[in-house]
Amino acid sequence: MKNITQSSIIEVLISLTLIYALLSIFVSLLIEWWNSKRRTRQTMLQNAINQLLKDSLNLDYGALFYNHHMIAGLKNPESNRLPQYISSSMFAEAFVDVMAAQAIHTQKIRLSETNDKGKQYELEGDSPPENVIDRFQVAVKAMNTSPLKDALQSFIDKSMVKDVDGKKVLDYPTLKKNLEIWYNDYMERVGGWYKAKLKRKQYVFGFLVALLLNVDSLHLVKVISMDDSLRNSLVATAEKVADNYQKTADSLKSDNGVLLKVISSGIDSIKLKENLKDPIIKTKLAKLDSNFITKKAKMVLINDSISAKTISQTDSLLGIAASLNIPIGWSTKTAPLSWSWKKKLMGCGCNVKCTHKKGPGLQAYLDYRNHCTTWWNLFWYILGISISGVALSFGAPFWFDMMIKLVNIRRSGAKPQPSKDKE
Amino acid sequence: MANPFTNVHIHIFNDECIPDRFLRILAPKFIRQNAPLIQKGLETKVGKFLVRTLAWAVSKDKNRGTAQKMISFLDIGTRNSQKEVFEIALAAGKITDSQVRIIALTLNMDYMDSQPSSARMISFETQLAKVMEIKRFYPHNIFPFLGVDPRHKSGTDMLNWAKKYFETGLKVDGKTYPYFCGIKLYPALGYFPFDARLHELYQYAEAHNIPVMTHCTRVGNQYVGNAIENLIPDAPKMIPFVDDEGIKDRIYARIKRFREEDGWIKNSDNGDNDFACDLFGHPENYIPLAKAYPNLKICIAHIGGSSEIDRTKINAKDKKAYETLLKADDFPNGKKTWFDYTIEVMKAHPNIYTDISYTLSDFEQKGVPPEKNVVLQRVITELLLAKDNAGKPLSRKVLFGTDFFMTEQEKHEAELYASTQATLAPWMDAIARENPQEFIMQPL
Repeated sequence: MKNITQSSIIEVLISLTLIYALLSIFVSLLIEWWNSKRRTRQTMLQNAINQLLKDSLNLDYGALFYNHHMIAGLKNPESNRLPQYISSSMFAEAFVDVMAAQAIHTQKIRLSETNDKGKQYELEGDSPPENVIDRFQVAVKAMNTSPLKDALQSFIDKSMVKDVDGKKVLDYPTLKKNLEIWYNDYMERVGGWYKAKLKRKQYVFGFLVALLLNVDSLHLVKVISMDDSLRNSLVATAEKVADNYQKTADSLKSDNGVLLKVISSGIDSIKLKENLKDPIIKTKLAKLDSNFITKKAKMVLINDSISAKTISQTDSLLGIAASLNIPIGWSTKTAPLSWSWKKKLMGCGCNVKCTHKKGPGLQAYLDYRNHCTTWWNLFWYILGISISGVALSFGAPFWFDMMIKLVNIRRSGAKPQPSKDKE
Repeated sequence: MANPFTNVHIHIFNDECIPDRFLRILAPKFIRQNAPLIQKGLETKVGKFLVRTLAWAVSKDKNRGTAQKMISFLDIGTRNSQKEVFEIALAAGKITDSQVRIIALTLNMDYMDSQPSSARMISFETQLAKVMEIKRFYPHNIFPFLGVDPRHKSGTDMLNWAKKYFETGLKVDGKTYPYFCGIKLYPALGYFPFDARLHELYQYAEAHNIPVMTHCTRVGNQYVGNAIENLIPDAPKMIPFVDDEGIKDRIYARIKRFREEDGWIKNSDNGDNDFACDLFGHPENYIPLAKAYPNLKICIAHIGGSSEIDRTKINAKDKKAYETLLKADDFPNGKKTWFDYTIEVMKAHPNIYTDISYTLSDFEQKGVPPEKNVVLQRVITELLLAKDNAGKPLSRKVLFGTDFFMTEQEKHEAELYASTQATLAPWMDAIARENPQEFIMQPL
């Protein structure tokens, strides 16, 4: 086996970070799709607003808030999805309206007479004010004493200004601003809860992707370190990708589509085009026309923009992975599907002998790994998958940043020797 | 000018008003056992598709129609808002009369389940606030009834709470309406209509001519939680009334039997508490009210249910259920159906009404021979021709209602309007225009 130099180690690490960055995009694509299907963002926002405005001594104002025309109007009429985001300005305006509407419900009536046209009622006492701001005050005053009432009364008190006659009146812009600050502060906390929830999902989906694409990190390290041609190609791509990533605006660095473009910009365009010609998922879905159920399932799966986008971006991602010749994916000729556990466990047990010997060189390693059904191979495989799972949960931005650092380290050192294969 | 066509019995609650295990009220065991999961699934489009496909797949050919109807019922119940549910009922009613009046019955389901529900369930007061909003949008069409439960509030506390809904209102086009104009009882949720804690409310309702709508079919709600003994004491305290018929003894005897019979108390989390529900909702439970408040209008809805009118249907469908029914029925009075009881109470008490809601879904049943369909039509016609003990026609106390959207399990709302008008054509003005106005007395 060839001696691994310091430079080679950096090159292997750069190659690995490129692969992790690419596959982390896949993880985040899947999480985005899952969140969209599970309506995670919408539900979390709704739950957060319900919690903020829930008042067990009065009403669930959050539920009334979502009935407000401005908020209900944000719902997607086709998918029935709630809004993922509500601006602080919209929150304040809708909330004031919701509270003000409760004042209308306090209008007293009394029975005046009963005649052949039924019971006749008449209005009694003061009518609710016509002005929405005044109604807001009346509604808060009419609430049972509760922590929410105290908070709202405090906002009212802090939003009082003197009018031209020196009389204290509620100033709507100040009230709105106070409500906006309250909402924004709360949403900052909610953002934190969302990120914590996302982190847990990243672990789960990281492992799922590692299994789904058969990403064995230990195998990757071995192959990359032994295959100079693959390593050089990955490093060259990583350098271009690192340069392009640095040029990308920070605001776009969390956009999966942009990140995929950044990676594909580092790949030979002809090769990439060839691999994108026949998108895997779209082709497989197109074949799902055999019966009613699968047809329906297909419609449900692709008939929304998020699913369509996920499928399209996954196809691009798989095309990129194919262009990079990364040793991942499932095949009956490679481990673990190439292993004969059935023979080992059911038939002749441990008598199945491996004819391949451990030895130097890529081919000897591959033969031993793919064709020797041993407990050690299984152990290393499980460890490799687990490492990949953990690595992929760090997220694409982490791996892009790591890649840039490693590329910079490599650039600051001596130029690597050209590979023997190329010679 | 004729009074507007009135449907006195619909529900508009949606899934945010119900506990997580609400679907345990439904009969199919599979649904009851998996109620929270199905409810959760129905919240999403994909979930609805999966539930629909699963229901289609697991039901046998002859039951597929039932499964689809069940889904249709669930589909309406999972609408975004009570307003949307109401608008479906309104659209169906407007086919008959553009000025249709619809009585929307609210239900307090906060005490239905002994287990806590998810945060998604809104409080009953919030449900009512949303109904008040609908009243603002459709003041001439919706006439809400206030759901009450003695476990929520009692005595003067209940009365003061209820007044907030009966004594507030709005003025539109020169007419002033209260937000709520009646009381809704649903004893099968786990309380007796004669509960002493409701006395002050009934007194107020009687004095202010506020009608009471109740539910009266067997079962009605399969699920009353898993602590039934606590809900049903040996001798529940009753409203004060003159018991010259020994009604108290009969009611207590029924409770005693229920507690003593082997296997009748089912403290199950999966519903199946039909005997307990029957005990709460028995037609004779309304006699104390009829006697204590002779001017309080009480509608014993559904005339006992169509299966009580024609029991051969139960016998044909499920012999075991029929035999159990005969055993459970009519202690200590001998063999009487709930239909018989309802008519008896109506005849004896001028303030007792009934409606044909849900029962009407059995008019013109598809796939049933015409001679079988005639039974229900004949019985209801006889009822409309009958007279009470004072010689007054009972037809003045029969009301038209549909029980939307519970009836989506049987027929769509517009079909119910059409089949009833075809079946009871000579009586429609009385039961859908005159009697309802007499019952609710709302400004015309």
